Amino acid sequence: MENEHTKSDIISLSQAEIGKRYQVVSVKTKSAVHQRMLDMGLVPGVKLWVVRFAPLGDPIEIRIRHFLMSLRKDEAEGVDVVDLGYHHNHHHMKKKCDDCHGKRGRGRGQGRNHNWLRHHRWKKEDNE
Amino acid sequence: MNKTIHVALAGNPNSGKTSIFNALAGTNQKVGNFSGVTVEKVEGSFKYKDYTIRLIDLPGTYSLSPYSPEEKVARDYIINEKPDMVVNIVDATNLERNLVLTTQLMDLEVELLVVMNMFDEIKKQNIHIDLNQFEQLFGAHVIPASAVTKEGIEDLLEHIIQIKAGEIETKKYKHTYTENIENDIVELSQLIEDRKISQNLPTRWMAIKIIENDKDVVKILSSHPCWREIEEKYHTIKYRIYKLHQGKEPNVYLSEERIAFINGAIHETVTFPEDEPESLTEKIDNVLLHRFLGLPIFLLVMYTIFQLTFRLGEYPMQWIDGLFQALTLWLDKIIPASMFKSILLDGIIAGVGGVLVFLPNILILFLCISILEATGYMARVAFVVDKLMHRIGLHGKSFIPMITGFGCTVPAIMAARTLRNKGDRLTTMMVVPFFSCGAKLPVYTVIISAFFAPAIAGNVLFGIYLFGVFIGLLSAKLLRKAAFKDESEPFVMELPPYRKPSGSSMVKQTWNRARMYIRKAGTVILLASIIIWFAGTYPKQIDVTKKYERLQSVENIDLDSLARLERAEQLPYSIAGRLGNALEPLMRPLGFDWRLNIALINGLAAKEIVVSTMGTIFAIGDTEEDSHTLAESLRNDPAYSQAVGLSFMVFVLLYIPCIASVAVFRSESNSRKWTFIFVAYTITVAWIASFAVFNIAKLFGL
Repeated sequence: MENEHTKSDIISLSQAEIGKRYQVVSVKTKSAVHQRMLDMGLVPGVKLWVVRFAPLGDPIEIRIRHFLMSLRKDEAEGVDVVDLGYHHNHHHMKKKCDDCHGKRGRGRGQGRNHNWLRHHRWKKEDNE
Repeated sequence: MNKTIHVALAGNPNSGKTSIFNALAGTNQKVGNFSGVTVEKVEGSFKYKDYTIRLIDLPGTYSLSPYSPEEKVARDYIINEKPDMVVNIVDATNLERNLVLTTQLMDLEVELLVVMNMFDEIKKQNIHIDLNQFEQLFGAHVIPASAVTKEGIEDLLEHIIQIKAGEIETKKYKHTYTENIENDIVELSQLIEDRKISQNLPTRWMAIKIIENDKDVVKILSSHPCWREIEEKYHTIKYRIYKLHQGKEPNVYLSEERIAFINGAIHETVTFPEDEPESLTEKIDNVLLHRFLGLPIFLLVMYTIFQLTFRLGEYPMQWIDGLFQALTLWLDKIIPASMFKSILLDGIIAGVGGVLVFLPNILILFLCISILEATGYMARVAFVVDKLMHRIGLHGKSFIPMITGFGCTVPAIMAARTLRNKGDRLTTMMVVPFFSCGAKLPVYTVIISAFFAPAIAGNVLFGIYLFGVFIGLLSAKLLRKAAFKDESEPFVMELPPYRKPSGSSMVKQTWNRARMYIRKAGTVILLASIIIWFAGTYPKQIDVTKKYERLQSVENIDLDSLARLERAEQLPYSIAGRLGNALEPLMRPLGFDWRLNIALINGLAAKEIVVSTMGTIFAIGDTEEDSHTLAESLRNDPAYSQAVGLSFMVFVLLYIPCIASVAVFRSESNSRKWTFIFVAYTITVAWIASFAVFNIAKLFGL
C-alpha cells in the first residue's frame, strides 16, 4: 500500500491541516509513545481525520474510525501520512454526496452541514 | 459449601469498569495501593449464593505492554496472583479500541469473561452485534451488560460461579495471529515447555513476548543456558517479518495483526445501522473545545470548582470548627485544670479538629473531579492546557492539583491521583505546596500590615503569590530534568465520548477517598499535634510557675491575662522555645530571631498556628481580633524590619505546608524516600529563597 505514494506526498502528521483526511504510512517514534499509538490503533494503513488543534495550538485532535484521540505535535512528528484530501463537508470542497442526495430536504448530502465523515465511515472507508 | 472465587476486572479507561465494579461489590470496598507503586487498588469482597467473590479492580489500561505503571501492575497481577478468572469490561460502543486489551488477555491464556458494557446504548444506536459469533472468535463467554440499568449483572455473577463450578464449558479458541506467527508461537512454546523454563508463567504468552522482544520476559529468560537457542529463533522470525513486511519491527507487526484480527472480527459480528445519528460528543466539543471559546470555558469550569470547594466548603468548615470550639468550651468547664485537660483540649481535640476541618474541601473537590472524569471533560482539560503544562515538563492534568493548591495543599496532593504517570504525579505533588494555600493568608496579612503601607499592601501580597507560582514552575522544570527525565506520560490519549455520570458511583468514589484521608492522615496528624503541643508546653520553668501561682492569689486580678502572660514567659523554656533558640545561628542569616523560629516550628502543625503563636509570644490575647496590636508590636520591635517581614513571608510561603500535607504525601506517594525529599526540598528552597530575599531587600535599604 505504501508503495503507491511518492516521497513528496508524504508529510508528517504534525504538519497536517484541520479538516483533511490522511492515511498513515509509517510510525517512527520513541518506544513508549510508539507502543501506546499501536495500542490505540494508530498503525500504518489506518485512515484518520484531523479534527482540530487545541485552543493554544497544541495538541492535535484526530479521529480514527469512530473515536477521538489527541496527541502532541512532537509525538505526531514521527507519524508519516499521505494527504487524502478534504472532507466533503469542508468548505473548500463542494462535491455532492450522492448517497444522501434527495433523502431529506435539499441540504442533506450537499451542504456544509452534512457530516460526510459520520455518514460514510462504515459504508466506504473501512470496507475498502 | 463456601468457596472463594478470585476475580480480576480489567478494561480500558472510560469503559465503565468502575461502575460495573460498584454494581457488583456495592459498599464492601477497600481502597489501597498496589504494593510498591502509586497505583490505586480497589478491592471488594461479597457473597453470592454459596460463594465468596473476591473482586480486584485492576487499573484501567489500553494494553498490557509494560510501559506505564498501570499496565505493568495489571499485567503482573494477572501473571503472578493468578486470579481464577479475568472479567474484561469492554465498551460496546467502541469495540475496535477496547478489544486490543482483550486480545492481549487472550495471549495470557486466562479464564476470560468479556462483559460488553453500555449495551443499552448499542441498542439505542441500532447497532447489532452477533454475540454467538463473537464468542466463537474470541474464545470467551460474552455477557451484554449495562452498569447504568444494572442489566447483565446477575448474568455475570451466574457465569462466574458456573465457570468456577465447572458447570459451563470454557471456550479456548486463541487463534489471533496469522498462520506463520501462530506456528512460531507454537514452536517457541514447545521450546519453553521442553526446557522447563516457564517459571509458572503462561508459555504462549512468553512465546509471544519473545517475538515482541519484551524487556521483562527477555530478562527472565536470558539467564538460562538455552537462551541462545531462543535468541536464534527470535532473529530468524525478526528477519522473516522484516523481509515480508517492509522492514517492520516484530512488535509493530504483531500489533498490526491484532488490529487486523479485531477489524475482521468486528466486520463479521457487528452490523451498523444505515444512517447514524449525529454524535452528541462532536456537537458538545465544537463548543467546549472551540478555538476562542475553549479557553474561557475551561477557566470558568476551573473557577467554579475552586469556588465550590473553598467558598461552599467554608460553611461546613465553620460548622465543624464551631462544633469543636463548643466541645472545647464545654470540656473546659467540666474538667478541672490538669495536665490531662491540657493534652485533651489543646492537643487531641485541636489536632482532630484540625484534620476534620479539611473534610468538606476534600469531599467537594473530589466530587467535582469525579464529575469531570465521569463526564469525559477531564481529558479535555488536559487537551486545552497541555501546551502550557508541557512547557514546564508536566501533563495537562497537573493543572487541577495546582490551582487547588491555592485553596489547600492536602486535597491538592490527593488530586494528583488523576495523573497516571509516576513522574508527572510526584513532580506535581512536590510543587503543589508552592501554590500558596489559604491558611498562609493570615500570616501575610499580619506581616504586611506591620511593615508595609496600605497603599502597596495589595501589590506585596500579589507579589508573594506570584513568587510562589514562579518557584513552583521552576521546581517542576528542575525535578523533571533531575529526577524523572524520561518518565513523561505520552499524551497519546482518548477523548472519550461525553457521558451522563452515575451518581451513586461518584458518591462512592468520593467517599472512598475521603475515608482514606480520615483514617491515614488522622492517625499521623493526631500524634504529631500531641507532640507539637507537648514541645510548646514542656518543660516548665519552676520559678515562673511559682511566681504566677503567687500572683493568682492576688485579689481582683484578671486570670485570663495572667495565664497569657505566664504562657509567654514559659515559652522560651519549652522544647519549642529551646529549639527556637538553638536554631538562631541557622536562621540569623534570614533575619529571624528565636521568637519567629518558634512561630515557624509551631507552624509545622498548621499555618493557622503561626499567627496565634506570635500572639502568645508577644502576650497578646485573642489574636484574630487583636491582629492590629500584633502588627503594631512587630512594627515597633527594633529586631524587625521590612526585609525581615519579606523574608518571613517567603519562608512561610515555601516551607512544609503542614503535618497533614506530609502525612497525605506519605500515603499518596507510598514512598518514605519521596516524603523525605518533599520535606527536605521545601525547607531547603524556603531557606535559600528567604536568604536571597532578605539580603536583596537589605541592599535596597528596606
